[in-house]
Amino acid sequence: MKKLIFISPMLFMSLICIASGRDLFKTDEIVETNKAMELTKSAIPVETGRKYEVLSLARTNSKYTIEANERIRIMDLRDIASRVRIEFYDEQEKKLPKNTDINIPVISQGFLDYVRVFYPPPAAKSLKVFLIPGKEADIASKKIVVRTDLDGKEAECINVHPSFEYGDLNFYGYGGEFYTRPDGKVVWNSGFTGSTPSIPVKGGVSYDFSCRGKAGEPKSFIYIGCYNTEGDKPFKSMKYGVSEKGETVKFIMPAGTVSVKLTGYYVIVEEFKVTESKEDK
Amino acid sequence: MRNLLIGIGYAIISISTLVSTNISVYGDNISDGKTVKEFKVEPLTRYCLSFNTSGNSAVNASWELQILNNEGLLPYEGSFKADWQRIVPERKTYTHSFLTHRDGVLLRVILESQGAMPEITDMKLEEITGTNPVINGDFSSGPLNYSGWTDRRLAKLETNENGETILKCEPEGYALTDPIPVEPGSIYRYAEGSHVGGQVLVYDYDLLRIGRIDGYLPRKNPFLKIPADAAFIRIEYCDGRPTRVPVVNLVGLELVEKGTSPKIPDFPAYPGEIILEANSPPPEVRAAREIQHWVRKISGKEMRVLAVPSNRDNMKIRIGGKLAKNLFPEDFKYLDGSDGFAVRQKDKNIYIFGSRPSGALFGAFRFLEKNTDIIWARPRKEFGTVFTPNPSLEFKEANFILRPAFVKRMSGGNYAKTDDSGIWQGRLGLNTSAFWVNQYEREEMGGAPSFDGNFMSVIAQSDKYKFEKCKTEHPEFFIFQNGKRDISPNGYICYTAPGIAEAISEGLCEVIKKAEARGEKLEHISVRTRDGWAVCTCPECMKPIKLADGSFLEPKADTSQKDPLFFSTRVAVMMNKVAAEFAKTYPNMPIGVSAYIYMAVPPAVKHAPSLIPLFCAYGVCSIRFPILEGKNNHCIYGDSGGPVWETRFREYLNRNASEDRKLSMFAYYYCNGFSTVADSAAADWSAMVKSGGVYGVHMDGFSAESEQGLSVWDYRAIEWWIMARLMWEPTLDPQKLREDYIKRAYGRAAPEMLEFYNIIRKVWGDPDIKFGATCHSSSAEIFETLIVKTGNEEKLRSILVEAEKKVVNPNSKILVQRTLTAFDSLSKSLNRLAIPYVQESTAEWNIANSTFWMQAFKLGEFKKVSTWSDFKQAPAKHQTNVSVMRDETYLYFHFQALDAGKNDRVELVLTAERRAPIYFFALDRNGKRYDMKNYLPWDCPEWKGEVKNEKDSYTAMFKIPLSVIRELDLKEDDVKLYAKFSRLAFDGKDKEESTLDGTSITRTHYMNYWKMLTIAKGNE
Repeated sequence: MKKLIFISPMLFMSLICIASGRDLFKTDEIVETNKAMELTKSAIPVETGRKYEVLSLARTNSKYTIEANERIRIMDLRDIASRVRIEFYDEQEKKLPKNTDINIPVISQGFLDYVRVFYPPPAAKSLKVFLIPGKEADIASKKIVVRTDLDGKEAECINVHPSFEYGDLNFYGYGGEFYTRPDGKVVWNSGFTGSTPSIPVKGGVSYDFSCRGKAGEPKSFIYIGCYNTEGDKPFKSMKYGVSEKGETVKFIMPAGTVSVKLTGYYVIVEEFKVTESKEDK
Repeated sequence: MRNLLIGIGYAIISISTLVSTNISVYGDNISDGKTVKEFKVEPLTRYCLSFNTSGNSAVNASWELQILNNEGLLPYEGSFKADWQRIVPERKTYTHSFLTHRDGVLLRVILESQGAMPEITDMKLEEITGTNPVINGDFSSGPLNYSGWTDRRLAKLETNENGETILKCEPEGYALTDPIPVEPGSIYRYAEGSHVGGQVLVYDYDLLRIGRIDGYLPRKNPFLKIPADAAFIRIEYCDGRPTRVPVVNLVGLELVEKGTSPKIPDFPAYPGEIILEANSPPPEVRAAREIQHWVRKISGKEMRVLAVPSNRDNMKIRIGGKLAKNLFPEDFKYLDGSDGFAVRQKDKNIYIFGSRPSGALFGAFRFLEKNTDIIWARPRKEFGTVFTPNPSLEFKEANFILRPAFVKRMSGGNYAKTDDSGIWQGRLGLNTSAFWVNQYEREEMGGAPSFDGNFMSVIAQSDKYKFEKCKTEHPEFFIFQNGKRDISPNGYICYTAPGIAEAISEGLCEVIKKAEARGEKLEHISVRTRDGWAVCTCPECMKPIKLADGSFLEPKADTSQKDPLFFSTRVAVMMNKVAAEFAKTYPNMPIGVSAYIYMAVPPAVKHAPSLIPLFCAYGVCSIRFPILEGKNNHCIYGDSGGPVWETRFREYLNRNASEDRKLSMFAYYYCNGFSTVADSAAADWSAMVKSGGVYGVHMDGFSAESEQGLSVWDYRAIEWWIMARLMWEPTLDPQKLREDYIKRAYGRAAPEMLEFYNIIRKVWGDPDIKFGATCHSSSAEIFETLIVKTGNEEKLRSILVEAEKKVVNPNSKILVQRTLTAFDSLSKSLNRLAIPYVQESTAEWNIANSTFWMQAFKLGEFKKVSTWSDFKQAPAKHQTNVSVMRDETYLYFHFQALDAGKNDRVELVLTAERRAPIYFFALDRNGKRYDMKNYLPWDCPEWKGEVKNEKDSYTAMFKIPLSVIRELDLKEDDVKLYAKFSRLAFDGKDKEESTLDGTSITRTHYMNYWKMLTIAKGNE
């Protein structure tokens, strides 16, 4: 293990309000590395259909950081940034394909919380967490937590990151961009078009979709795209509105729907929640 | 609440009480069964006349008021003679309130009776001194007294449950206050309790309606500001929607701020007069006022509109059918059933008339056009009308007649949005509009009452088929798709449901009967499908259709997109049944039926003769050439090409030629750029006329003029003007009409403008330019294809510049300038920026204040990008100016970042074309450089950057080799590349992202988010 030789003083206060839950793994050990390193001592069992959260308080001395370049947010960092990686394993402890990995870019020279809430992919029975340094860089972590049975809004909704409370650097999975308002609230600006990550739902079941935000332009709108197991394109879409006081609509998922995404056109969203309709439960 | 309103009403009444004044009675005259009483009056003063009757009043006794001027003439506005002015046995007391006209000096009260004259006592004339300028605005004179409400239709006074008099306007009706004199610039507001739902119409000195006051909002803007050109206002109550019946119980105005006293012009008299009978219909009144108005404008002289001709030996322009009926029977016969017009001269009398009032109006406009060089070039009262002042104005052209080829000349678009639009269309002779809901304005401008509805809305006209009933009692009327009936209001229908044809016929009959009940004769009715491709696929509708020759038309698909012929035929079969059913009640009334969407395909069964197909090449057929020329076929949306539209149109024409029937067209002859599209319209419409009977033309796209900035009228006006003419006479040569427009509208600049349009005409009609312009084509596409790529841009612009120099008439000048501005705007819309070649740039690019940067192209006015909030592209707080120049090898960019933040950077994004790699370059205030290629780290050493940092600003300069943008084809004569310019500024508190166009630098998917830069070959 190599000690970090160049890390700026912490520039960002960690003000993130993190959901709590049942810890499956936790370490406060400070680790620093210039090569890939597993943080979890052993595989952590997971169940598909259950929400998990991985939190890492991490930093890097890579040149691809927010301190070095504000536009790092729009840069394609797939192969160059330092990252926290979550890998999944099947019943035989065989690693699932690479495209099921979750990579959380670590793009700050100061320690910041990097958080991902997720549903394990089908066939996943366990996970491991790794630190992956970027090109010619070191990565450091002083806290790793893996949780389930999450509290708060994450427990309330089916979708993940419903109010973007993990900070504007935890924007992975969304189209558009996250921005922090002067009052500290993080919002999702869909720009011309942006979508949420996939949200698991069941066909024939009724869900409430609540969205609070602002229409950015007169032509703004949002819609729920329904996906089946077959394709990348929604086979059905349902349009609805957005307003500052919030709009809630109930949609019964068409038969065959396995997931949905919210797609926004010129909207700035403060909160988006998907819950199963109570009367249909 | 009601009590409160009553209280307020009384309060208003109390300020409207009558005050007796010293009014001289000139004297009484009794002759010819008439009693005449005369009173001296003052101009523009409100009076109330009152009198009692005693003894046995005669049946059929009445009174009339005439207000004469000091020459003893009776202006039209001084004549009050209406049905309600009757003396009846059961009433003893009568009042009549009125406003005297601008030179009224003598009131003559004429009492007339067909039997014994009733005994009149206590006749008094009192001046009204209350502050409410609306005559009889509180209706306190009772339900039989229409004082102050001279112009109304289907509007009546009633007594409500509280015993108050109220005014009710039926759905197709209206009621207007009499003119209220106002001072320009004055401000009024409605009195408390007053009905505020009226339109405030604005009239000029000649009592010509010239607009209305918009923007009144009861809470946000409760004020009525009187425009500078207003001399009178009238408040109009009318809704036009069948479910809205305005009920008015008080109309009161309060003066908030006094305006400027209008200067009463002292115009010399024109040697002639206009004669208009008292109580003439609105189009004839308008005809007279238009002539009066334009004679004054053109000659500087005043020609009065008189209700009674003077005995002067002068020219008399007599308006309206009544005055001409017995003199020109042949003309009336020729014009019968149309709103055509005749202008005839007998000695010093000129008669302007039609078989209906609209004819007189359309005739008046043509009369003015034929005798002057006036043109209503476009619907903007500030500059849209052009004429040459002529103190010697004479009316020599006074013998012509014209019956329009198309009975129905309809405009699409939001007609009533501005008054100017409605007035302009009336002046050009259009007579219907789907969006025209203001009944008074429609009637005044010659519009014909019409009805148009989709199938289900027609069915629902009958009470027994209202949606709520129909959905339970006749679910079979609704479209069958995907295994079930789709039941929704105004939904699609089933074409074969038992009774559906009868239901449509009944709905149409109901529409006509409702109109008849309110005293109106509908002139046009039409029925259509909804604006979509959905068709019924119930088992019955999908059955093969038996044709005239005994064969069967089999369905080939269950969608109209795939089998338009089958479904077009299915609808035609149903409509033929509708026609047969409808003819039982209205045998002579044609029904318009849309030949639209899939029904544009001529059905395999012929339409019944009383059905008039409205052929529609629904906006996807190119409009550059006449349909029959077959040159448009390279642009057919949804079809594989070939002569689809030509074949369809030709078949409709053939059917029209072979039988005694009529054909209409729903047309899309407009586009977002300069064109000579009227040439296409002329050829198509004249082909219709030559094929046989024609009925109507509906021109889509007649949008209302925008009152702000540029509008489509800046390039469409000339063609629309021509097409309005063609609706009357489709066989006229459109180029001759274009020349006429140009001559009148541009005056001395006419040669240049003709040259301009001749070039446009040449490229528009060049079949070698493979470009299928439609009404949907983008302005940039049209401009680039027809003007830029043909190499005409520079020449056309120079012609307009020359025209601007030569033009003299102030309104012509505005028209030319707006054409030039529109041209430049279209040019600019291509987002091109020719980067100047500056030889010295090689050496001095990194000198921030080098004078050679002055030769660079300049850009500025950065706008805030939407980030954590939508800043609506507001001007950036941290402003940035960009300059661009080049040499043979490099591009040079100079960013001047003003009001610099602590952390601050400028950014440049370049790409060669859509979907090509995107190159990103940035420099921060401290000179640190950044770059990306396709959003990946790049670290390109070939470009250079330098920064000159100042206390509150900095200048960042980029030197970028053209060669790094590898996708550029530098061998081309004109190299295009696309750029975005951005700035991130953080002053310690706020972070601001701004760009030249206000869109994020990540918004790159459409090229209109980019600024196009062009590099011409060589060093020029």
